[in-house]
Amino acid sequence: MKILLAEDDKISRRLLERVFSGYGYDVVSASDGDEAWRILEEPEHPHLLVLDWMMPGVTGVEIVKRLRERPDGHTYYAIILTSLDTPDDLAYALDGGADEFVSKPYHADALRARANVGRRIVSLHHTLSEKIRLLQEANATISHLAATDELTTLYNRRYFNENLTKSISAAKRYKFPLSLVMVDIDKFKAVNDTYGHSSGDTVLKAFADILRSLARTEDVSARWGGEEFIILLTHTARDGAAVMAERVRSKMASECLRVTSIPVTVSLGVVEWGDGEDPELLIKRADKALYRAKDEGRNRVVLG
Amino acid sequence: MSVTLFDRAELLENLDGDAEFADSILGDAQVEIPKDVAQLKALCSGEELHSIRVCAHTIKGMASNLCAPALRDAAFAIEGAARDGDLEGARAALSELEKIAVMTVEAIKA
Ligand SMILES: [Mg+2]
Repeated sequence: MKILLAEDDKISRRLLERVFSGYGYDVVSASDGDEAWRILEEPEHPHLLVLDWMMPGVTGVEIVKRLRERPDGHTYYAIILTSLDTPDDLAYALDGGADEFVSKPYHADALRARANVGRRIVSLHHTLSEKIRLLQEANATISHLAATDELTTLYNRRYFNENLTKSISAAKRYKFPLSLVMVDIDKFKAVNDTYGHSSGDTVLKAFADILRSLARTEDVSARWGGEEFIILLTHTARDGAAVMAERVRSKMASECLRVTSIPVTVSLGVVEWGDGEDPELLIKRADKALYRAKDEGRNRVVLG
Repeated sequence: MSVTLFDRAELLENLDGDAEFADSILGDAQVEIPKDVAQLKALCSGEELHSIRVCAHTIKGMASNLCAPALRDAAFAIEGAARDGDLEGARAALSELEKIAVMTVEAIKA
């Protein structure tokens, strides 16, 4: 482990270096407080510190005080080395943020043993922050998986519902329009029966790609279940949503055959949220519009 | 001279008999002592009591590491005067320290 030894007197510094070299320490030396502080601002600097109190420039205690104010201030273990030895001096150094106080003349084995305590604490900090980093990564992965549909990599129903609830309260508060488009792939059962399930999956993925290509970044597209999809368009009234829905319909009708070798179309129901309407009712109305599109012959957009 | 200038035996004992390392730091000491004393002298011609105190403190620490008690005591006297705000006292003790420093370096060389 790296250890920083800051001591202005060269002889004392060499004696200190001798105490720590050969005991698993990688010694970094500084000949005054300013140099010590520069080292502590470099990447990969030591976190275990033995600092002489009285040095020209910044004192050892001043370094510790400044260090504790940094965001990573709690990750250091600092031993103040000094010929001062009154209880007041000790209290001043420890209150200033030092972890340990060693009076000169020091006993080499005792000083090394105190530094070893610091080494344990620094490596504990290191292990903890590494574990926290891994946990944060795992949490990010879990959140992503929990929000996503595996096949299409669109959002899933649960994420969509959470998002819809939030968007409706925002629309209520800031008084902006919000619309929903509910989509169903036409005769999807027949696709599966005729071409097999993996072809069905190909069609679902191709449609997800079309949604992604047409959606604005603020739109939320999700797989609602089976062959049903849903799109939330904030700051968009029904007419705007209808334009988007028509683009989706038309792109699917013109491109699905080319991309998947299977001619498939979609039906879409479009509704705009009405003030006071809850998410369930809004979705129910979108569903109704979608089924009218089916009843009226499929491959069309119906406004609800 | 009642106080020892330099105690080689004690230094060796402190270094667990490592004569090579002892010689190496004694070589440094022959450079560092005159350098620090010259710096202290320059500071004593000014008014900066805090700098005088820090410099005398450094010499004191070095001398005690080198097992050079006479120099340590001389530096301690100046450090104390500077701490007490006694600039004249610090200046008055300087010539004694300079003399002892020269003798200490001689004793180390011997
Ligand atoms: Mg010092």
